[in-house]
Amino acid sequence: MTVMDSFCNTDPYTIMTCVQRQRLLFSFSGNPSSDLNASIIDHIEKQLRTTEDPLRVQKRVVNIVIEALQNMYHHQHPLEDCFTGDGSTILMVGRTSGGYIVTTGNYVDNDSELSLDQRLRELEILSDIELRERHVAALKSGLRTKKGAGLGLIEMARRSNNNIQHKLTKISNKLSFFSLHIEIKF
Amino acid sequence: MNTIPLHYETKSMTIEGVYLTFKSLDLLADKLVDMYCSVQMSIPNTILRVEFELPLLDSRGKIMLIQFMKALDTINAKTNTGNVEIDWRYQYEDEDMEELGELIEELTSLNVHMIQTEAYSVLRKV
Repeated sequence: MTVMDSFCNTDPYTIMTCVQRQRLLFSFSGNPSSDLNASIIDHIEKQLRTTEDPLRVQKRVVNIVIEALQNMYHHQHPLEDCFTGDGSTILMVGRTSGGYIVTTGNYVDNDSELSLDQRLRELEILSDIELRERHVAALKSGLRTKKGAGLGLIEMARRSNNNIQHKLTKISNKLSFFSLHIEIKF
Repeated sequence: MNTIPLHYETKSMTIEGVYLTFKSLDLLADKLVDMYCSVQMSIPNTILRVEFELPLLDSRGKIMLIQFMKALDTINAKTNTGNVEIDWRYQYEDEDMEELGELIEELTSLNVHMIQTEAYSVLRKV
């Protein structure tokens, strides 16, 4: 069965109840653009305002989404044989009883896979203080590579108290799928 | 306080808004260049007040802002221009922008006034 068959055979009501049960606030699949990013953030921010969750948590969610979108925007990999022709990234924001979950995914070159994995593994073991020091050092130096200094990843790690998990799934000899699962606790 | 016009007509300068995209980061850069030029052309020993109110700024924007502030600090220290005072407005519970203001204060000798404001709808389009 193809993805399209599965989609066509699913009752919209089933999809809707599934989304509501998962308390999914927002989901997006496509190629982010700078204009689209601003609209997505605007929408998520408005959704968050309807809750009575602590402002600090709302701000953290927005900040993480900003960095996640920028990250996907700068690292998106166009796929010629993609199902929709326009679906190389995914972003989902959901709410749980304990906080918020931000999940992202995008294709990356296998060449950059190792450095990305290494950078994230380095961040995972840092304490809050060490993360702050790393963050300040990156902001101070202003040093960045062609696609950023990894500052976005540091920001996401800090704002989630390092509740960040990553996964790299090898798709082909050229490509891997990079996903991030970030938890922002109340 | 002796405040001089930065653009002849105005007495201070305000940089506010949400800067998230390439286009709006260009706008932010324009405003910062404007501020930098105004300081260079200012009368010595006067106070130039620049008010910042940035509810959201991505990491690239933060790097750009810090680099500008460091440059501003350098011309303030090395040349005979007006002294810059920053009003850094950040929203209640916005630890991100509060930290950024504190970092500018830490990294420069600019006089930064931290001003907490009420929370409001974050996005004001630029």
